[in-house]
Amino acid sequence: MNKSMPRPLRVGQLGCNGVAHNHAAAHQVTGNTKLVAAYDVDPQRTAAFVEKYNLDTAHATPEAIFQDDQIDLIDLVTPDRTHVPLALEAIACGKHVLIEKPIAWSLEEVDQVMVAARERGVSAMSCQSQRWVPKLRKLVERVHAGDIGEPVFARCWGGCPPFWSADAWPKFNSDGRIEYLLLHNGMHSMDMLCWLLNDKPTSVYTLGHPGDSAVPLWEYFNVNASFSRGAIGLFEESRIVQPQGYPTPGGGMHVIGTEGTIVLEATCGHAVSIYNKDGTHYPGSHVYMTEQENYFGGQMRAYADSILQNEPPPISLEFSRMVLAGVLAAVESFKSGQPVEVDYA
Amino acid sequence: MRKPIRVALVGFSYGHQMDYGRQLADHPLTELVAVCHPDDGSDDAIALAREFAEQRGVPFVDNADDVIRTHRPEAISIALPPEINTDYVTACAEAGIHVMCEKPIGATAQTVDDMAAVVRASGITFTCAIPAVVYSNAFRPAMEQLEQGAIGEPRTAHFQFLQPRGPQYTLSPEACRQRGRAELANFGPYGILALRKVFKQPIRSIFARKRAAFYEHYREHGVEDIALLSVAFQGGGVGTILVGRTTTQSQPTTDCRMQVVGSQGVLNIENGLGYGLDLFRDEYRRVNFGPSVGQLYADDFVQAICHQASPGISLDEAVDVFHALENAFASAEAGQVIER
Repeated sequence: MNKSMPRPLRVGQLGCNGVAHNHAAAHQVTGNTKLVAAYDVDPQRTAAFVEKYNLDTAHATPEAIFQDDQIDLIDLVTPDRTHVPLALEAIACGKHVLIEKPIAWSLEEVDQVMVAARERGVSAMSCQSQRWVPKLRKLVERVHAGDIGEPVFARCWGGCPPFWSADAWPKFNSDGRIEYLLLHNGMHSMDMLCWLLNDKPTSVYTLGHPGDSAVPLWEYFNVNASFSRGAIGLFEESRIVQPQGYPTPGGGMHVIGTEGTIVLEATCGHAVSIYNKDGTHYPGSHVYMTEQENYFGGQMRAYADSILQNEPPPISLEFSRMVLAGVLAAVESFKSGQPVEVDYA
Repeated sequence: MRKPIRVALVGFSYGHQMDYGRQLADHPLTELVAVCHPDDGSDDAIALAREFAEQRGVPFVDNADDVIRTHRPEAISIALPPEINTDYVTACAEAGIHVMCEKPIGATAQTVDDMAAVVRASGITFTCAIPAVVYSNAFRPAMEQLEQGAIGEPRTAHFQFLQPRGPQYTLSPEACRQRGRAELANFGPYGILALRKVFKQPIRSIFARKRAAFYEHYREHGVEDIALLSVAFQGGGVGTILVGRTTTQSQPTTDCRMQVVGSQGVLNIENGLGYGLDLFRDEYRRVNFGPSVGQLYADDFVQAICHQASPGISLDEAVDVFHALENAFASAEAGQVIER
């Protein structure tokens, strides 16, 4: 353990909207992190966030939070396109940094973060919270233990929960990229396939559906992928429909090995689900997990442990770079209509 | 009262006749007049056909053309090798005989198209044995729901047909060598037909990956035991099809499922073949939900003949499924998207 490092790690969070609440709630259960400060471009939102989570400080600028000597770790939960510049700034100030996915929109940007973190001697990791979903973790453990032999095929499918309403979706900082769902959420699925198969994608082919014409972004993608050792992967990202009463917005997984099959019908559970005449509800959806189910908390705890013990992060930037390369190839395939070889250069 | 339809069964190398052919022969509106397996040296098939003929008290014939010439059936259930299927279907059409045909309906795109032209011109009733995704106790109501707009306009779909417990029912090394194809050819038509029924539009493009992952003799002969297809339809619908024969021993039945996402809802089929209930007491018993796929398929064929109606699986659909499967193999082999 790094004796100079206080325990728990003191965390400053950038971004106080949407999934930022999952992060804040997670820090309450990790035991080795303490969220102490926050910043958001909207001062009122920052103030409300600080009050809600009983934090010490509402910072007025990112620079102020980076220069706060009391803070060890920056939790970056800002719009995608701001991840890299803010991460580089945090690293330059000697902060460890946890970056929401996608870590970047290009491999060059990931390289910049990798170089900067290495040179500054700090830790950086891209969020892949789904890896800490207990059911998924168990599934991957069993695959890695050889319970179904060599994996031959893996499929994961996901849908967005109803609280991501259609009119809110374009506001998620897509910068007009109609493939935003693939770029943003595809990082989860591609990471899951790479992690599960312990392999890298070599070729991808993407089909999409625009979905509801009232929404400017495409609402469905499926990606047919091959991996270097021969496995075939399929993932689907969808927010094409959120039917009232549909019970499994979290999607599922199906893995076929040379000696068996694992099927997981729903990857994400909700502690409280209500299906009634008014639709589907997850009350307190941003704090819906019990401690055991709180995969954001699991991720934070594991990452903080790695920092406290001077060990590499649970998910290396090299791995996230590989995942991003696969997703970027999927985006290129969607645009070109052709299968695309994954370019890792 | 209509006279019974005179039917014959031709070709016993596949399981087709023991299910669909038998159902056709047993149908209350038909009369079995002949059973045939050509003298092609396949002793098992010949013995099976002879036994079936003896049981039913009808002649066994070892020349398929003789069935047409001598026994004058009005309808034939055909399960011949694809290389001779098309010629025989063509001969039937020219003789005005209705046809229930095992898949694949032919060996090449050209012979299938030529055959289809003759069948169309003849006006006979033609149907193809891809019945599970039309007549099963799961797909039948599901398709009815889609037809009624239960989930609005279908937009995306995933279909899978995974038969477990291999190497049971795998092709022999000799069959692998002869056919050069395996499980995508076996099960792919189910997925293609299912998605075609869902989207009701022509296929726009196909991309496929296939692999021999489970069986050494499949690897040796370069035939596939698992495949994944990405299929785009005109009108914008997109789907994926996963088929294979796995070595998973503990799955009791074929994992056949489909999810369709529409503009207003989602339709899930969990147990696509929907045979019935599994009843475990002193001994295992299957309690069927209702009429079997084979019964419904054969009945649909008979009713189509009687009422001069289009069968549930039409010639156009069968031909399109054949071409789509050819496209899938071409895609997998070239690593390219096949635009249609």
